Amino acid sequence: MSEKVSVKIPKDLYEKAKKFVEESGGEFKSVDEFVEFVLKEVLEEETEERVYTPEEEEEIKRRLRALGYL
Amino acid sequence: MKVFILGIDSAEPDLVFGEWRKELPTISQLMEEGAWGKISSTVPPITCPAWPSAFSGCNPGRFGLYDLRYRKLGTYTEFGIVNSRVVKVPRLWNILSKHGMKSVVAFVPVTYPPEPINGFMVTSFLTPSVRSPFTYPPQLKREVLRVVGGPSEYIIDVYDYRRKDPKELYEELRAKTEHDFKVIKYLLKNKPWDLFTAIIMSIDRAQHTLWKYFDKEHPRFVEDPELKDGLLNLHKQIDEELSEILEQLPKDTLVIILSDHGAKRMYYRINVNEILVNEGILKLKKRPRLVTGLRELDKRGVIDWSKTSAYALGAYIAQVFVNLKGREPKGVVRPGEEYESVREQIADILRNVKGPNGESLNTKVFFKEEVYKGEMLDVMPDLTVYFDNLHYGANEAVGFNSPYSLETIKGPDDSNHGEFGIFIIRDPENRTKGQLKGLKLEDVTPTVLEIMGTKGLSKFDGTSLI
Repeated sequence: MSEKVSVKIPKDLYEKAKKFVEESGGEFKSVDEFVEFVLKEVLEEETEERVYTPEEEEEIKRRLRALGYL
Repeated sequence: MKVFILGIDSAEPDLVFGEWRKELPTISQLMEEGAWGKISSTVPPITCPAWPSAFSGCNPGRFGLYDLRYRKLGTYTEFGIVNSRVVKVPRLWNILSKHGMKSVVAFVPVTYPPEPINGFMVTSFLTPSVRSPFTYPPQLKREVLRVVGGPSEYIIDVYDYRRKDPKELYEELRAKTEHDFKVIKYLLKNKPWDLFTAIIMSIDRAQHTLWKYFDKEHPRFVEDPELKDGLLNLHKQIDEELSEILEQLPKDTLVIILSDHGAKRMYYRINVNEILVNEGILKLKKRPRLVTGLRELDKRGVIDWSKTSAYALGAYIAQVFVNLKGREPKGVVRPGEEYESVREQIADILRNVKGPNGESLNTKVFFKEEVYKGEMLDVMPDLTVYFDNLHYGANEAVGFNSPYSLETIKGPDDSNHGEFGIFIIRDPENRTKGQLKGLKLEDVTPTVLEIMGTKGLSKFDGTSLI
């Protein structure tokens, strides 16, 4: 388990998250767990999409076509 | 103990351990002094997933890669290009970093974008351009560019190799090998390391175009005195460079030479989707009059997904995806019994494809759960097909009006990938000697970690050889 740190969020947002957790039927055990899950989802999507710019992706695809892979 | 690994992408054991052994004195000596054997590649034997498997100790079902591209979620024919962030399992250098050991990682496929490690990294042929941040730490890029003579001299890969004059290609591949070894030797001399690993790509590129000049059994064999030793000479060049490197390594360094897959002569390609169309498995609203790629057919709305039960991807090795309900955007095949029977039906059709003269082919069909395990099993192809045990390649395009073709729409090709690579290990403590059997790529990482004294800290599909 990696080290934990505290993050501040607006109280009304916290209350909404808490309600979501309570209604989640046990999927999330705490607001902490819920927030961690949401952040991970967002960040993972971001990093995957940002690896290549559209121009770079086209350039690599052109090369892979020349290599016979596409 | 320090470990030095040189990967020679696509080096074929039947050549390196066989007819060319005497021509490669350095490799030959390492074999005599250490242990060696054929190493099973991944299914399929393609650069990616093979190198990530070797460097993670995991089968591809754990990291979800089956080619240099991957299907984007929720699409049939939109593809992402494999990159370091797609591989979620830790690789050798990540594990060593955690244990405070330093790695130098040079030209290893699927490392772009480079990630922070305890050590130094120069990424491989999937680097977009010289402008890209292709090193870790970022300032290493300036040193690397200086070593090769500036940004205009930096070679990421040899491009468009099937359209070039073969002699010109040969010269470019020699230059690429020399360029890469310049960087490797610079890093060896100037950076601290516990693990040094570098991959040379030129043999892979050469085999697709220069195979027909040495192999008299190749159906398209060409007699050419200048090119007949082309592929061998590219091997010799690496052997000579390796000799120079071995002299510079500290005495207690364990040396591993390996390839991610081999190569074999390719006769024809099987037009898999054409066959699936003929069998009513892949439904087209209209047959194309010209040879048309699968992606293009999908973009034009020609594929009737509501009546399609499967389709195939892959240029060398066919990857069949069932149009499974709940997984595919317009899935029609129900999971369970129907899914199983569709796979059996397709496997049966493809196993029975004959050669152009009616000859039987030694075709192998792998069902995904037989060859993969892990969290990413769901994204792996439902079937992977080695036509004539890889002597026949595959084609995705439709419109050939024949189950076979010599070319893809991109041009001809001499060789396909082989299911075995080479593996040589020279241990200064002589813990392993002679010929080894039953090796697989997944064994490489556990072996290296055992040697480096970090045994038992991670879980792998492979096992240590020592």
